[in-house]
Amino acid sequence: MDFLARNPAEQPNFPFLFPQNHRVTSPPDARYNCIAWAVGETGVCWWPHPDAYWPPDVPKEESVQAFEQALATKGFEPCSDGSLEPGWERIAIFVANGNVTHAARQNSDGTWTSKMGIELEDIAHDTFNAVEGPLYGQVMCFMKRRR
Amino acid sequence: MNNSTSPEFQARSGGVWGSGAQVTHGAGCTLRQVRRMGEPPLNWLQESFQERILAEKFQSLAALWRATRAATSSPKELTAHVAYRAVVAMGEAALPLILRELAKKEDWWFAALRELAQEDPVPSAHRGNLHAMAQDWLEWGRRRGLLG
Repeated sequence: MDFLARNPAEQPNFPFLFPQNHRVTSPPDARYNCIAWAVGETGVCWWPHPDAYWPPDVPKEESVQAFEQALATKGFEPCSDGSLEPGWERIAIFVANGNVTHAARQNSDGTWTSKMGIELEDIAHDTFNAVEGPLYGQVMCFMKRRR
Repeated sequence: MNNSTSPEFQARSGGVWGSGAQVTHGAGCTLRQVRRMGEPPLNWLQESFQERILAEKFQSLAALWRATRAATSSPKELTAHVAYRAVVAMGEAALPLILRELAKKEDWWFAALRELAQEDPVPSAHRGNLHAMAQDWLEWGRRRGLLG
């Protein structure tokens, strides 16, 4: 099922999403967001915000550095690209207007998975940049950890 | 005969308080029932109408927020939405309305509750856990008599 068919108001935010390059893989769920999903958690929302979980001692700011520090607490380390490397799990970090907006996680088959917002669905997308656009901005960096 | 002051007309139409139809006013009372209460309960009517208007305003803003918030992962963005800010601008009167809404459907109302209550009953261990935070706030509302 097409994410944009389910959420037509999101069309302008995702100009590179097409029915052919993604599919919805979960029902809507407001319990977790993209960062939580990227690190493999579905019971909590991660964000540098008073209402969200954020690892202790990591600056509460929406900078790439702060997000890298937060993701490092789950075993991720910076890497150079989003290629498929057997035995490794990658994350792409998205930035718009200087602030982190989103993270997508690489599946073991090389496709990517994103939790769309706090309250919408998970999707699988063929390439990491399929969700780039006005809302999530562009991929700024990658991180990886052993599967 | 079409004379509205005639006894025949008043008998047919339900008397001087209008038609016999059960037109309701305020909290589900007919105008005739309200009149029978004695003193015209204008304050009570005004409060009832105000509560209903506030509740309708809150429901329309909440629906607008839910329908038009983008696929953002940021609670900051989510709670900066114009409809969400309009709920906060309703002031303390919005507190019981938000709590009742939270009891029906868990959602990210915590920033509004925190702003309006000037308190935060959520322990740090619950941060980010939608269900746990909702329960913390509902318990807070019960303790303060804001929830039935």
